[in-house]
Amino acid sequence: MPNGENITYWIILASFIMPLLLAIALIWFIVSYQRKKYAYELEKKDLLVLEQAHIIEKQELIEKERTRIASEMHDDLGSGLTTIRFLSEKALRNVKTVEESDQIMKISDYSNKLIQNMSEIIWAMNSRFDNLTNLIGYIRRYASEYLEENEIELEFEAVSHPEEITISGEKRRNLFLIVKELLHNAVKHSKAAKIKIQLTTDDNFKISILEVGSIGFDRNQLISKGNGLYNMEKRIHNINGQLEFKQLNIGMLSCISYPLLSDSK
Amino acid sequence: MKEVISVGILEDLEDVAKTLQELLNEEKDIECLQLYHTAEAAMEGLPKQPVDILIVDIGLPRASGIDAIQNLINFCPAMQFCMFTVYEDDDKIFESLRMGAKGYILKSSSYNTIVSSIRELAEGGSPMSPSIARRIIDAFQKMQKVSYGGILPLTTREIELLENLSQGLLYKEIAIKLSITIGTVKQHIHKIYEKLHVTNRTEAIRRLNNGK
Repeated sequence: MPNGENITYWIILASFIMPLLLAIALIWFIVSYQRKKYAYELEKKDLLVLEQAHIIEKQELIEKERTRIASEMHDDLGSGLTTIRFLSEKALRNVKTVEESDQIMKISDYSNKLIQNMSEIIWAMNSRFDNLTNLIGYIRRYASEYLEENEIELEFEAVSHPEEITISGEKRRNLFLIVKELLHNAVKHSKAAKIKIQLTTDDNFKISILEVGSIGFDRNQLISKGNGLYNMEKRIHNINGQLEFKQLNIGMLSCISYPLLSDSK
Repeated sequence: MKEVISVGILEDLEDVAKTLQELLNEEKDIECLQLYHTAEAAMEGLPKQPVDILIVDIGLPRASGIDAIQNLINFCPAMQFCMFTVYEDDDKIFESLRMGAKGYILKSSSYNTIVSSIRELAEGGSPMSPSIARRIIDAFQKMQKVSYGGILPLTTREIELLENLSQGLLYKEIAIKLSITIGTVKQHIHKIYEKLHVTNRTEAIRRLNNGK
């Protein structure tokens, strides 16, 4: 029966072809799915890169803005303060009474102090100095000059860290200002003849300041007098650090500790 | 024996420039006759009658103090430039040192410091801050990587000195540490500034030739 044979033939053919077609369809589906997935991932990656580029661009803009503010401060305020300082210096040469000279001297001192403070802000704003080595150098320089001015001997020891550690401007500034305040207190209130500063770095950046021969102070009394203790505590809190005072036999010891991990990632 | 040091001032703040001039003229060994408020005026006037030391403010209207040095150094080779600036971490100070300035005075420094800095400069000394020291080390290291003829290498002593300075040590401390006098420290620094300038020039010329 040619008809029946034909049907069988078709059935046999179909039973071979159908699975083949199905398999082809399946493979095609899988391949195209993979391709789509790949394309999607690529797109996602592209988006991520774009986003990162956007963030970098934004940071650069912020950086640029910071530099602009710094340079404007430099130009306008710096010029003004310098003029005040020089004019008061000139006035100082023509005064007759001690009272007058005292007052003019104050004007000169204040404008100088403002220039100094502004210089510190600009130092903090410049991201080129965002590293520990720079902070250590800055602290050392300040301490040697300030203590020499006040005739106090300084022993300075810094154990340097082999790697470059990043530390952002705000944190640098806070740490520096705490050291500045501590040294200021040491000069004004303790009778220390010598100050030892030791800097170490492991997981924490530690600054210990030992005022040799100092009898320390009464915390409450100092707070009420507004000697900057409150400010120091606020600053150390802002950067998640710790500030401790210990009265040792040889003198007052102040320890600043700042966790480096949070900043160096 | 010692001649009078002739000083010129390039500073756009008239009150500051005038006061500084008056104060300087009170000194027996210093004479300050030339005042300029713009870089253009200084570039015009100074080649005709150069001074020993020119005190240069960086931020001026139109052309800057750095531009003035770049121009004047060709016409008055014996003149020394001392930057007069508010901040010691300024990028521009570094730039002016590369251009040939031999030192800088901070505007906030006391009058006595200003006068002694001028005398020091006349005697071959120079001031330097830790951050400037660090940048000079970096600059020389970068240049030594691309080595070529004409570069002036720093001596081991000079590198040692710069490293100590960049860590914040004072001249006095460095002198004790390296068992030399403070005067020698200052002279070393003066030489370093010179090398920085010459090296910068050589590099600039090399770049110009390569670019062609």
